[in-house]
Parts: sequence; C-alpha cells; structure tokens
Amino acid sequence: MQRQYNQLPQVAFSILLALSLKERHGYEIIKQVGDDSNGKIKLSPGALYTSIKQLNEQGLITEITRDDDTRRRYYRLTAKGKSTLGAELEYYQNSVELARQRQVLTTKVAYV
Amino acid sequence: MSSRFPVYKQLLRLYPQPYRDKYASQMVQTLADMVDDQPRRSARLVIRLRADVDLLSNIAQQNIVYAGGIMSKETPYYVKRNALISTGLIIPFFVVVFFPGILRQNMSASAAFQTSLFISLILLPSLAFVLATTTFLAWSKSDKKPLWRGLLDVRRSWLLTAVGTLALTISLFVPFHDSVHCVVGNPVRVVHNPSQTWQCVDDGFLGGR
Repeated sequence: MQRQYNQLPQVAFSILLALSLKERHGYEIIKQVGDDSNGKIKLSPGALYTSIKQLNEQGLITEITRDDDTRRRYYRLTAKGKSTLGAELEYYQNSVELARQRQVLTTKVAYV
Repeated sequence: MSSRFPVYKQLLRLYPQPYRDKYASQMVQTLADMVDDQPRRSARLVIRLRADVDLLSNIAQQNIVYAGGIMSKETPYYVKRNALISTGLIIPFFVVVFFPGILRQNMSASAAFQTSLFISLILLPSLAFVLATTTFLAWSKSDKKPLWRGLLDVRRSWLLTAVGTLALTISLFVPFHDSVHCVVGNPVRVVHNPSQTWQCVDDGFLGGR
C-alpha cells in the first residue's frame, strides 16, 4: 500500500521537526517549536505531553533519561520518526513547488 | 519545587492514572522551566493561567481516550455489539422528531404513516431499552458481579449505560407526552400545552372525529 503523506497533525509535525537536530526535554521542545514557527505556535505542557504520548505510542519518538539531568526526561526521534518527518517534509516541499508554479505562493512564506 | 503550582497539581489528579504516572512529573517540571525562564512577574502569571486552562481541555480529551481504550479492550464483544444495535434502534426516533416532514411527505396520513411513527417513536426505543437491559443482566451474570457494580464500572459500560438510559427516557416520555400524541397525528405541528392536544384530536389527526 502506498504511504499516505501529510498524516501528522500540525503540533506533532512541529515536535518532530524540533527534535530533528538533537534530543530535547519538554521545555526545550516548546521553545524550539516557538522559534521554528516564528512564535505562532505556543505550546503548553498539557498539549505538549498529549502529543508526546501519541508520538511515543506510534514509535516516532523515544524517551531517554540522562545522568546529567535526572529531573527531566528527554525525547529523541526514532528511525521511523525520521522517515515520517522526511516524508512529511517532502510532501510540503512538493506542495510549495506546486504553489510556486501556480503563482499562488506569497513572498512571505517563500523561505521554504 | 514540591510546593509550587498547587492548582496545577490538583488538576493533574484528574488525568487517568496511567497518563498521570507517566507524564505528570514531567508536566510540572516543564511548567516550572517555563515560569522560571520568564523575568517578568506578569508573564509568569500568564503562563500559569494558560497552563491551567489548557489542562482542562486536555484532561477531558485524555479521559475520553482512556475510557474508549478501556471499553474497546476490556468490554466483551457481545456487549459492544448490542450497545451499537441499541444505538441504531434509537436513531429513527431522532430522525422523526427532528425531520418529521420526511415521513409526512412520503406517506401522508395513511395507516402506513401512523404505523411508521409508532414503530420509530415507541416500538424501537422500547426494544433498545429491552436489549440494553438484558445485555447488562447477561454481562453481570457472566462476570458474577452484582448489577450495581457493572453500572458503576463506567469505563467499561458507559456506552451501554448511556444508550439504555436514553432508551428508557424515551420509552417513558414518549407515550405519555401530549405533544407526541399530536406529532403522531400531525408531525408538522408543534404543541406547547396540553389543551392543544385536544385541538389536535378535534382536527381529526388522532381519530377524534
């Protein structure tokens, strides 16, 4: 069966993107998601951990503990998470390319 | 950190136990990190208030997910099947009540029309109640638990309980409500008080003349 693209909710996608560089704990994810979206997505702990739970259950991220910071749990992309994020980004890239060709893309979002 | 965020911690207690065990401490830690990172007191207050409000919607969501998961895993198949059948039996009631014109247009005031109304408003909801009740009794018997314990075990029985209660309410309400008598006679008409029922009968909709 062909894989379906664009199947991640916006918050889940943002979390995976935030974890693409390195493993992070909750507040680091919130800050990174905020930076990545130019402040448009402001996650609270409730929304963050609801998404983290789903991503964890889907096997897209994994939880790790670090000896240098025992109070916080860190989250890292799994191999499946990386490929899902890659497929998602590819979908967006194709969409942006199409939008460019159809001249419906405004310059404001043309940085993609 | 133990005495910080008392309201937040109280709200966290409303999450399902497995969720709380896994994420509650991290949620408090993350909130503490967010608050500590803000130099201004007003910003700290806004974060705390936003977190409290946000938690309420997430609590509801997680409890629904958890109850749904429990039911899908732990409730016997025949209970779920019969609950869904009971739900299906009630649907015609709502169709007729909210879209009375459907039957009216197709069948006018014929005997078939009256029969259809009787079936959808009275017979099917009563059957739904009987099915839900017998299923509950059979489930209690097979589980070897008293009926009241099954009723209290909301996470496993909520669908059957909800459908059974709704069917009972309809079964008790419909046959004795004036407006329903009138609706059976004339589904387009809206009746607000008992005296209008007689007007309905006078109009010949219920065979009064």
